[in-house]
Amino acid sequence: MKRYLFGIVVGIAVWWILSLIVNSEIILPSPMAVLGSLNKIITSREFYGALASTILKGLFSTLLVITIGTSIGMLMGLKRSLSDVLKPFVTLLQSVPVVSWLAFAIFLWGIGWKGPVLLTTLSLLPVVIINTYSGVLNVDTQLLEMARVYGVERKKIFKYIYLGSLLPFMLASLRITLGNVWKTILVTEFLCGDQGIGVMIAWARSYVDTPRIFALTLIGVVLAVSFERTGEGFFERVLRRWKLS
Amino acid sequence: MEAVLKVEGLKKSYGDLLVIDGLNLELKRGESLFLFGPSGCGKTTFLKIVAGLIEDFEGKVERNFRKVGFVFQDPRLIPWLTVKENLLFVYEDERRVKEVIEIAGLQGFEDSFPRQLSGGMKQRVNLARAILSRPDLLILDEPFSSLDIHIKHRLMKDILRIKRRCKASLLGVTHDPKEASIMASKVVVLSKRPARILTVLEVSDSSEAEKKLIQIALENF
Repeated sequence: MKRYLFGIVVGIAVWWILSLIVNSEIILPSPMAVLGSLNKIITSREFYGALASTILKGLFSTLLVITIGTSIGMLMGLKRSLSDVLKPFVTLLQSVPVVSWLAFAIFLWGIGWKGPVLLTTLSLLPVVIINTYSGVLNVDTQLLEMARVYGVERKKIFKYIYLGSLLPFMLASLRITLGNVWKTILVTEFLCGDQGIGVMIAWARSYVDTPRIFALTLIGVVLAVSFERTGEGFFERVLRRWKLS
Repeated sequence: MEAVLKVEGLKKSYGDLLVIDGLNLELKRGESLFLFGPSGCGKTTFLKIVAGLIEDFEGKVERNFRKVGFVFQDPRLIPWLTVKENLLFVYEDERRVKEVIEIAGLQGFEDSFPRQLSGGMKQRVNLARAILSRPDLLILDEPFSSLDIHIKHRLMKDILRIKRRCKASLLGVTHDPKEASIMASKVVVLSKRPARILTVLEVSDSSEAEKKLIQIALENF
């Protein structure tokens, strides 16, 4: 912990010295300027509405990514024919750049909360689909054969063998999504949102208010780290109870 | 006596690879029949055909048993379920599960997870699972091969005891002459792949039978 703090202090010192050398608020504002901006932001009323909006969008996107991604991944793993049909679409989804979806979302809904949620969901979906799919392929065929010999019903096989071996994969999906969703939400809000931290960054950019951009970025980082940390503790507890880790 | 299993002219190939070439055998009720042959000669394939796991083959397989219990080569336990839950997974009857846990000597391990058990104990669970539904045919796919001698002998005795108690017939495969001669009342000796019957041995004296099997193995495998 001590070294951790030491690292942060050194980092800030280096930043401060660099800002003195650069000597331009627009390119590299000093730590004090950013702190001032941060103070102004968190004491303003507008900020809390934006923060809540960003968090809600992030959580909603995570929910969508996990439910849709896990279901598609499972179906693909269970039905060979379906996976052959869907694989090219997953690849397509993976390679289409966010900006192409952006045009589509803006034509469809204009500026609002739906665009960022759609864009974020689409860009995180392939990872979860592929992760779940490989989880299903990873199921021990010897266990499946055992269940067949004893004539165990399909429902039980799914619940105890499939879901059991998928649990670590589902937790990994959740972890990856919670770690990445905030970055993506900020970008998509920046592009087509009407409210949120990303939108605040967009406004700060148009006023060339670099200290404010830095301060908002800092808030985004804290958001991501705190969600990831809370998630991590939770996943470890679940896995330990599952007696796998 | 009635035949639990009757196999006539059984042939099985994987693509161009002929694995079993014309097998004829009969397992009578209460009998203990072991197939003895070199590794990779198609023994496990034969068991899978009998258990109904492989359906495309040539020849006739007549199954006159009600229920089958399969003791696998490796225990095949579900890692995230306890011993008791593993048993309940195949047979949902708490009382029977309790009974079988006692028969298999697993008392005190009901709530253990597979990874907490030794190899021998895991095989006991494998065996317990096989006898849960009171099968009249118990299939053994080299269940002792990964165990050390001491545990192996105890488990063999246990299986024979359980077989008598459940009045089941035994059908097993092995490449170990000792195992075959202890467990079987009749040993069918198979050739290298593709499996054909070399000879059939009735076991009356197990050490005598073991010597014969070793000799056959040395000459043919």
